[in-house]
Amino acid sequence: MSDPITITLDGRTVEATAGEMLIAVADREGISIPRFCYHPKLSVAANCRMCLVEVSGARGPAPACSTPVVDGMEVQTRSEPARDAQRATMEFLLINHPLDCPICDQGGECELQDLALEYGSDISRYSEARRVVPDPDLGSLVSTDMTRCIHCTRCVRFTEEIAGDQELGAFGRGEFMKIGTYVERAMNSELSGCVIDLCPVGALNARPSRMSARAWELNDHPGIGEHDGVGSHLSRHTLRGRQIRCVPRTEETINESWLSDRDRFSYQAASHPDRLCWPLVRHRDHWVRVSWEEGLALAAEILAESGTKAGLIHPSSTVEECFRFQQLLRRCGAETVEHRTRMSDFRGGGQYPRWPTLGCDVDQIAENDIVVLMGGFLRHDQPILNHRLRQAMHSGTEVWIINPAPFDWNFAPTEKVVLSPRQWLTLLQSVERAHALKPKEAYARFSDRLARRLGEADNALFWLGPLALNHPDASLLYASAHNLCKRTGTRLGTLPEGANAPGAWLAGCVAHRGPGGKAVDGVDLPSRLEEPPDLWVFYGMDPACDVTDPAQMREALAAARKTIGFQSFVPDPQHLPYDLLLPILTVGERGGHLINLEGRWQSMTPAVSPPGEVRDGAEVLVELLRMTGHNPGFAGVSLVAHCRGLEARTVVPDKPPKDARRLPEKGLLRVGSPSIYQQDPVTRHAHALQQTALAQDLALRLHPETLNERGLKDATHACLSQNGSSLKLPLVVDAQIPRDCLYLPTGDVRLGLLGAAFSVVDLHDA
Amino acid sequence: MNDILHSDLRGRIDTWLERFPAEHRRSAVLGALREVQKEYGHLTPERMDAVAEYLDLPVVQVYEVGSFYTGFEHQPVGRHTVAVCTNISCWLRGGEEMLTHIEKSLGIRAGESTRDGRIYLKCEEECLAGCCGAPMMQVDHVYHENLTPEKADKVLRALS
Repeated sequence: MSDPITITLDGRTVEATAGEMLIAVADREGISIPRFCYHPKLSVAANCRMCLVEVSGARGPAPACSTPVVDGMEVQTRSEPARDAQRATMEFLLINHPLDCPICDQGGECELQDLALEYGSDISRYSEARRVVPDPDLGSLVSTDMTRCIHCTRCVRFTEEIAGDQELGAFGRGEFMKIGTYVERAMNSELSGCVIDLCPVGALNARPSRMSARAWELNDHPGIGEHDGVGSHLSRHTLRGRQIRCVPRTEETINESWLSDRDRFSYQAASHPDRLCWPLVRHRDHWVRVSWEEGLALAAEILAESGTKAGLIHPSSTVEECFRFQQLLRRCGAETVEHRTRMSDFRGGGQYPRWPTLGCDVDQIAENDIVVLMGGFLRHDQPILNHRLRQAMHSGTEVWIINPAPFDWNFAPTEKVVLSPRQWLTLLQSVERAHALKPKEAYARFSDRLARRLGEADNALFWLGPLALNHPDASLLYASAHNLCKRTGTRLGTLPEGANAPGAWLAGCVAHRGPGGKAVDGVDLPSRLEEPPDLWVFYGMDPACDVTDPAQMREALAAARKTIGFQSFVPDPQHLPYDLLLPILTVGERGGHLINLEGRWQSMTPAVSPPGEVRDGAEVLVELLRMTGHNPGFAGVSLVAHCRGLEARTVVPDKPPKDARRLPEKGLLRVGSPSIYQQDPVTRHAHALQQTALAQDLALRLHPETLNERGLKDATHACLSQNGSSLKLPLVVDAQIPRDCLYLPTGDVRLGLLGAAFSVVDLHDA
Repeated sequence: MNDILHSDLRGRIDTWLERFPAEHRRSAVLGALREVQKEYGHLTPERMDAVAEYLDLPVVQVYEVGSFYTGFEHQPVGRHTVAVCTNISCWLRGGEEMLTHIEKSLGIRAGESTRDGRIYLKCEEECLAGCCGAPMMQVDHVYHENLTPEKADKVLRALS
């Protein structure tokens, strides 16, 4: 397959590898062959017949996408027979196409339109009845106009081969073939929006931006995904200062040409009706609009007169925002500055490296012999990483998964254990012991098998996901995983939430570490919650959802004297007692830097101006530094240079803690992590994403025996009680969930004041 | 799933599975759907879902096969399936007239079943490969060739 050969392409002698498809060779040589069904990242279907070319010696035209090159082959892509074949194909494709380009969103960026211009005839010879196809409802993200479909099946192959869950199919045959779901149901994939990019005609389009702009009116602004640690490259398309849609920007080393729905459709949050557009001051139970001068003066006054202070920032804030946030708060005497707002175990903070990383680059995941993931559901946490892991698995990487629930993976991991979080630490310890002892008998136990594979593998990677990082014994799990990795020569990676967790560590938004990882004396978040400060400052995170325990946070807020919020959305004044709200930028409006989990710095520029009097939070923080009598230093670019310089600083991790376990040993344990569209305030305000089943489904998953024991055998709903608060929730019975656990996603506003995950809860009749 | 695919039906599907390598369960879709149709007379999304679950395939892949072949029915139909060929050889030898005659004598149009549930007059889309005996019709997998209106009526009357 790898022998170099030469072929003649349009009279040009070209080098190729035997077995390559003709169209790939032509693409490399810059010779364009028209095509619809061919896509370099999908399997070859050869069903559109648009890429027919003339091959000397062949009996008829050959499809370039499925013709392997052989030595000495002579190919004409633009000879008269080739063009005749291409024109004939185009005539067939246009027979049933409605030619409604003037009202089609794809118009102006349509592959069929482009090629019809070159290969189509001016006059249709077809005067018989045309096909009309009903449009299936694929949900809130993808719109359908199936009469336009030319049956290339790119979308079908995408759902099967890339999204990993074949949701679309081709039903019927011949003239009656239809693309759809057969039984009406919405697409449920976290990558469903990619079928919009793949569709070469206007059959599948973006539903949120349907009929809202013409492709040629849009301005393209390169940007970065702001919701996960992958940092996908994307383009924000704007019209007259409004974000209309978002599409992937090809970056082979990160997101290839794909984009998660969360990154693609979150822009809708920027124009949410609850957008915070002006500084607001609370008067009893309602908001009063004030000017920036008044707002800033009040903020400076509150900062000056408050005693103890704590500041929490969202891990998707930029490096600039994180740096200025900790600078202002620390200069004003805050003891607590933190971005890990969902973490509960802050012991042994010194053991962590300078910043969290994946342990390898995104495009190197497939180079590992084995990847082990403990505590995370990548399809929800980091969709593109899940895609990469799935591809790695298909190219031979072993994937081992340890989780508290089976989760709906779109690939079959090599080994998957569903294990109560109570046993995770013991598991890690027994893997380490098994590695040391090298048991000779059959590797019956999971821990023995894992120890052997980690010992054998040349390239092994161990990931701690958000469920492990937010575990009440996270520090012990980390220490144990670190030890195991050291002994087995495995690289250790962590998968924290947010788009800029490494940047938040670097800039010093960590209780015990300042900028560059310099040790500082800080009070960690749990101690601060026990003993609430005078002043809380929240930046881009919602204290009702983005915390470990919303009930405890609520009490800590009530006990504090003042609360300031740097926010993009207006909260309910009765539920969240902010004294002052300052409006900051959100998705698509921000400039600055994000550091992804590879440690890669990526810069963004604003795609649009914000509404109302919204301002750049980093600049507001600088202004407040000045107003409180502090010199902010580093203007503009020099701040970035300073932060980049911090990277060179060595951080020597401390010894791990030797401490007791905190996870309660007995009782029904509630386990959970935020589901895909509940991870940050931005996605919670993205309308179309919130209408998907992935956002709306909220249910308790538990073992049938757990229900039987409580006399709830055939119940459909049950009441969950925790901390004196209770909530009626639908039940999903799943025999794979450990008997001592129930799984309930967190971060959802519908959970109200239910308290923290990883706590003991009570379940009774609804 | 077990309600639809009872143990006898699963056993019949297993005989299809045995014909293919263990990792190619998808190959048995066609056979499995034929067994389900033999059992119930026609396919429904629920029945195809059960096949998908049993063969461990995405439901869409089973729907694709079930909707592709005209041999599969998706609505309740009469006990006996009658298909009259109207493809080129039969057409030249009066196949269309034969179909019209049968429609008249049964009192239904092609694609419909008689009210007593006895006969389903299928819309045949392709050549049934009985050209040397054109015009012809197929009754429950049996070919009746060199048809005349009288011969056709006799065959149809004999159906119970």
